[in-house]
Amino acid sequence: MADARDAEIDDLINNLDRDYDFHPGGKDNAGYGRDQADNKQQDLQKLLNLWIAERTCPDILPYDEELISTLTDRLRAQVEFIEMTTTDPEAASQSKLKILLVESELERIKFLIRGYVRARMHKIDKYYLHLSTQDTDTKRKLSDAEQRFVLRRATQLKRFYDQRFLSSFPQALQRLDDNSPILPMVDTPDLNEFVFVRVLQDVPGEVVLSNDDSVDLQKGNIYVLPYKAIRKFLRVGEVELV
Amino acid sequence: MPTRYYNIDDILTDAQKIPAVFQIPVPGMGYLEHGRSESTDIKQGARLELPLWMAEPLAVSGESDNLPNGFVTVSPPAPFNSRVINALKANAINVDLRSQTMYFFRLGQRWVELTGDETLLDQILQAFTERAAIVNDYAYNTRSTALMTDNTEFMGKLDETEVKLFRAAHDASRQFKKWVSIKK
Amino acid sequence: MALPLKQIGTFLPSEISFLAENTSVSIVPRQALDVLELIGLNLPAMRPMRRVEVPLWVAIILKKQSRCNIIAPTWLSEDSLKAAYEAEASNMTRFSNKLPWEWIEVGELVLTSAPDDLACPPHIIRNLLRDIREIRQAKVRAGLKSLDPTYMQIDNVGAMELNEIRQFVTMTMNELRVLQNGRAEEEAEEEVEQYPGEDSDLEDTLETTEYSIPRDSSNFDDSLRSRSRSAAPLGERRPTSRAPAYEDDEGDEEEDLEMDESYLHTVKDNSSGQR
Repeated sequence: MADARDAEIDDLINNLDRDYDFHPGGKDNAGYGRDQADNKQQDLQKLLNLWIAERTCPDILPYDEELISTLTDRLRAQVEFIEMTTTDPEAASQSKLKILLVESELERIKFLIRGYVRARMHKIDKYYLHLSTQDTDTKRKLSDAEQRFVLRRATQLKRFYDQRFLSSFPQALQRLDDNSPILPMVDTPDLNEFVFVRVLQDVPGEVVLSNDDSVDLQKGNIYVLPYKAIRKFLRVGEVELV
Repeated sequence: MPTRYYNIDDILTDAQKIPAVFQIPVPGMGYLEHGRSESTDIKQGARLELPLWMAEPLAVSGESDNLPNGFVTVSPPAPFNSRVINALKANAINVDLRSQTMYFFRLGQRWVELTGDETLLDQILQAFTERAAIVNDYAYNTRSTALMTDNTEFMGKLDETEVKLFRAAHDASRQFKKWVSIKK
Repeated sequence: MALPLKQIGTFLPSEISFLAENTSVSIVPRQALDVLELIGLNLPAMRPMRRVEVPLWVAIILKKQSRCNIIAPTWLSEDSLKAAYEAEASNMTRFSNKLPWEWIEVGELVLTSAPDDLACPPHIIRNLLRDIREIRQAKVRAGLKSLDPTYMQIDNVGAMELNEIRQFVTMTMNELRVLQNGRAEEEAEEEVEQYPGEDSDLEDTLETTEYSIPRDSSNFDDSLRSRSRSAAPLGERRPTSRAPAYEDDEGDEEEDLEMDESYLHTVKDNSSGQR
């Protein structure tokens, strides 16, 4: 666990001097070298993990504003690079291949970002009522745009239902958010749903599950476990969703 | 997990019939009994099949000194009679659950929740586990790409939960085959 | 629909394959290329005949244009695959650790994009991969016979294999868990456990209250109204905490418990076989 914390701190520090210049498609600028390349690979890895996690996790996960904006900045730079290179009559023989590679990667990254956003939209759509009525803690998981969307969706649907039929119901039956414990109207993510996880670092002690069963999470192993049981380890990077 | 408000399977499970015996007369509700008119009463001791959503609250409420068993007493719905359960024990996969109820397992869960009948629960769990594995086998052995043409007879015995399992497994297998064939 | 139905709760094989294209492979370039800055990495400078490591998707593009040869990963050789097959065959209850996470996808991608770069005829590799897949599938199938509602362990499973059983496994286990909910009190407070080194933060506390299902009927008024999906009051009633009368109630509680435990044991003993 100490390792995870250290890694997190390293991450934070790295992010601080992250505002290096990005030199799209061109030569590696000597001054940045390794660090920048490592950062890029880490960012890609993060995006891949986010995409997988958002698709497999029953709950909506915190939106990674920083990563997505870093990546979209680089996307934009790559588009500019392509434009410049294709309009340059002096372009070398290599540049066709370069453009092909840059474009292919561009599409790959766009596919992942779109997939990430769509997976989130799917959950936001499904749990809009839950998300729009929740405390700030839940809302913090959404991006600004997602928060605006969820609120607008909730208001507009409510207005639509009211106009179409709810207003003709008796007062007591007009609510959409009646949340009695036995039959709540508001759909919420089921945190007990099973997920596939890979253990990245040994988790000390046994993880207790229901029915007095427990499981020992050892590095490299793959388990199917209730999301709720591994959520804490996911947060600190001791397990990953697969 | 609470019943999900907008879930069609949960709603239809709620509509499954439960045999109930009224412990009290209920004026003006006689029409709930088949073929009787509105003006009649439900008599004390009347046997009625009530939908689960109605039977459940009536069964767990109304208890008092002169009414030790609550408003109604319930007995196991037909799908859980001993004939079906014994057949499941003998050869789980051959039992035509769908003809019993489309929601055998969901109803089973609700029934056990209501009655605390853990023996029945164990039998249901056992049957579900056994049948699920075979559902998976069938889903993978299907040759035709058109969904479920070869498996009509087998599919006809599955309850809704199992049909969903079959679809999931079948889709996964089909998608994989499709991917491999595109690659080649 | 924000997400197509086929992609809810699972991935398409093409998506799993897409992920595998990010693994790195060695290539021998046939032409020079300067360092190329991309978004997720900087491609190293390439010189003819000088081996470099690149992501598989780059290798496939270059190979298609005959600008490189792909050096198949060591595990994808005849000898290694034979060894892997032996290892798989020697233990029918667990997967061997001889194959990488993306073995199906990478195998397929290399075979289709660079069959001429392999050290032996591609059909030999293909047949070996198929044999391995079949023997591993048999293990998966055996494991699926004993799913239980607690957990499952499947070490060394491949990404594609996992994805193939993903929905079936999660749906079955979720269903078993829901069925288990009928087993009264025992699992009620599972969520309040403290994990080592973990503070229960605000979020968890909130969810605990949100998700706990009252087992006694003390707020029965509420339940009656909501169960019936209607707000119409049902006349006089009073809260009660006893179990409802059950006419054919002849269950012997102690026997039930015993049966329950032995059931769990059998499940544990051969559970998924891959512990």
